[in-house]
Amino acid sequence: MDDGTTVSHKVQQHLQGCGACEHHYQLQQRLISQLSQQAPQDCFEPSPFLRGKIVAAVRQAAEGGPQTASAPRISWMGGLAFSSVAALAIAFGVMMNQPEPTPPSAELLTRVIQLSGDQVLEEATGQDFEAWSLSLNQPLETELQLVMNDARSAIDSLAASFIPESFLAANTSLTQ
Amino acid sequence: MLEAPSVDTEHQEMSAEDLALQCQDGCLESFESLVALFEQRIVNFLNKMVRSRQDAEDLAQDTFVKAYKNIHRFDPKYKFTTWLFTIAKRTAMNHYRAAKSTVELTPEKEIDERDPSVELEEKDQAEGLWEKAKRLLKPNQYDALWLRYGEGFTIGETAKVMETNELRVRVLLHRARNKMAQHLTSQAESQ
Repeated sequence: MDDGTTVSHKVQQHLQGCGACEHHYQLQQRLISQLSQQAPQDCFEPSPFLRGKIVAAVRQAAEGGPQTASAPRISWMGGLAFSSVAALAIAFGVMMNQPEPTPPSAELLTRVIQLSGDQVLEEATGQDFEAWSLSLNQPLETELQLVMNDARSAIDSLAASFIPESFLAANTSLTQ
Repeated sequence: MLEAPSVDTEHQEMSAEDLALQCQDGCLESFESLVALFEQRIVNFLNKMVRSRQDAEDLAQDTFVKAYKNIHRFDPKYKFTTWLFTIAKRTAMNHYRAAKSTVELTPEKEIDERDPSVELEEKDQAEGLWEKAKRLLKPNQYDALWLRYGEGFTIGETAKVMETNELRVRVLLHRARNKMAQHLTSQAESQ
């Protein structure tokens, strides 16, 4: 039925003897016929300008208009990537050239801890402000420095245990 | 099945596959003849998928442009119609996915204070068979039904356009026809 072919002789024989199947078959055949007949009625005429629009769009595509649109986008993205990398490199260079802050003396630290809130504010004005702010940051920086030192010594001991001496001798720059 | 509109005399005798082959060799006029041949069928097929004439016309334009850009991929061993309808179907699916992601604000419909069963009965009697099918069937059942009986495609061609296998198309058609038949029987009994 789906292929539009007639049913086999065997099925025809069954249909003659079975009223329910015959009814079902006839109904389906009628439905298929009506669907095919009514299909054009369910269609509409497209706008008279549509063909012109399609042809114009196809001609534009033939000239390569829309296909070349991606080329400027690629160069623009490449430029953006290059400028991002350059900006990162400059920022990294500036950070590396920053002078290391001089650590505050133990005397200054003790003084800051002993002062009350108002006194700290007074002390924090004028020439002492920089030293005061450095003293507040110092515990965190010291802690970070200690962690870094621990990590370095761990890597050194691992390298000494697992990397063959001959390899280390050949690549002296790695041990420095 | 829809009747094909006339094309220019030079290309009149040529099959769609021959026109596509000429287009592969760079003949733009051949493609314009293909547009003339399939414009109406494609627009109506798309209208059935997206349910908007304006969108269907816009999508038909996209379909033909895509077909032109990819004409070198067309294999003349297969039917051009099936190839073109497959592009149209994919274009409609992409449109549907894009439309789903945006919120569409539609004005509220007027409230019909009549008995819903009366309204439904009136609607049922007035609408054609394909309108009934649209209302009763699932979208893929309706698409299979339209391609097979509206467009006159074979089961194999329908399967190709729907990007599925023949067995699935047979199942979709069987269920669609049964649902329609059940509805028509109950409608006849109630009258």
